[in-house]
Amino acid sequence: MESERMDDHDALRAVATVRRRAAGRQRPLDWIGLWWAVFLGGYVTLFTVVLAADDPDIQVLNAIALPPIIIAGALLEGARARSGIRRQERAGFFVAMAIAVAVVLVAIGVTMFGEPPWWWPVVTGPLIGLLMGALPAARLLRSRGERTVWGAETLSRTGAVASVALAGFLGFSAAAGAFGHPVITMVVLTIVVLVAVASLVASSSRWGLESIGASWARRQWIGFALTVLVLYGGALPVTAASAHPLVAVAYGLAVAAPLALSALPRRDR
Amino acid sequence: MNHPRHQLDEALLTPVRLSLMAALAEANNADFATLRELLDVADSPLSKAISHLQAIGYLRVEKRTLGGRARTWVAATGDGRRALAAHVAALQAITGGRPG
Repeated sequence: MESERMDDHDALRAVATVRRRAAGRQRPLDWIGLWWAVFLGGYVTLFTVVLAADDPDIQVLNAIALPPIIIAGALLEGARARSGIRRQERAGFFVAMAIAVAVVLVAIGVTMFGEPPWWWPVVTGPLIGLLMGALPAARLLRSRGERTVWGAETLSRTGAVASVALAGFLGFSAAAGAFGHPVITMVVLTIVVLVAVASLVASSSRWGLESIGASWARRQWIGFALTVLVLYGGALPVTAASAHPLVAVAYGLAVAAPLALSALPRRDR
Repeated sequence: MNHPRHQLDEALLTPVRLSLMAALAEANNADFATLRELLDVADSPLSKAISHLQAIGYLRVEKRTLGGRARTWVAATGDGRRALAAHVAALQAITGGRPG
């Protein structure tokens, strides 16, 4: 079979078919890439709002918002390993990245040293989202009609336990940050640094973030997306209102719940 | 010697090698199990095709470990991508651009 030759028409058909199948295989990664763009846009919006507010009480928001960004980078690497495909990004991706970095730097500079208009944070985040989301969106449009292969929905026991632990960590860091106490803020910031180091050092170990990302199917990614949505959506109102401890705990539980629930075993239907 | 048939690449005349290069041109970098599934072939012909294309510099192979398990990853080189593009262009010239 390896040595047999093909008719020219068959050869062209085979090339087209394999390319379509490979593009379909990458659709889950493109959906995750699109989500990542929205997520980054949300983070930059929150970051510029905090920077523009110049209020020490809500500076802790940066500590709350940072862990999911650090964690998501390693989880995405795991998703690539799961899909069996790692895309080597082309020039368009690096141009978008360079523009996005320039936009963030300009946003920081204008916010810190200038008098930015009120709409500045509202525009910067979505602009980053658009820049980073354009390529995955274009690829999804190009491969529409192809079957999206997410793989098995069953989560391993290790993956389930690690996912619940991750949900608990995100809930804890959200609740701790929402208290707004200087000591607690310090603890949260220390945890952020520890998570960053741990995720870099042990990301490909059995319990590492990359392994967790590799174990996730569509259900867990949706759970994680909802966890981040609650975390970012609730961060400003909860922190700005100098939350009562019970509100902070409720906020932490609401953050942890979607990801934790998505990791629980499903009942056979 | 001007007939497009002379532009066909000898290394890409077999179905598995051609499909393998086509998959990697789209996916860039894929693991062995994914390629086996995409191409719908057994391990042995896929291994032979990878070894052949690696020997002539069209592919690069590396092992990576995740969660304690090693996996083989295969990527197309620049030479491999250019060879596939030239081969497909020759096929299109021969067939008038139609798969048939």
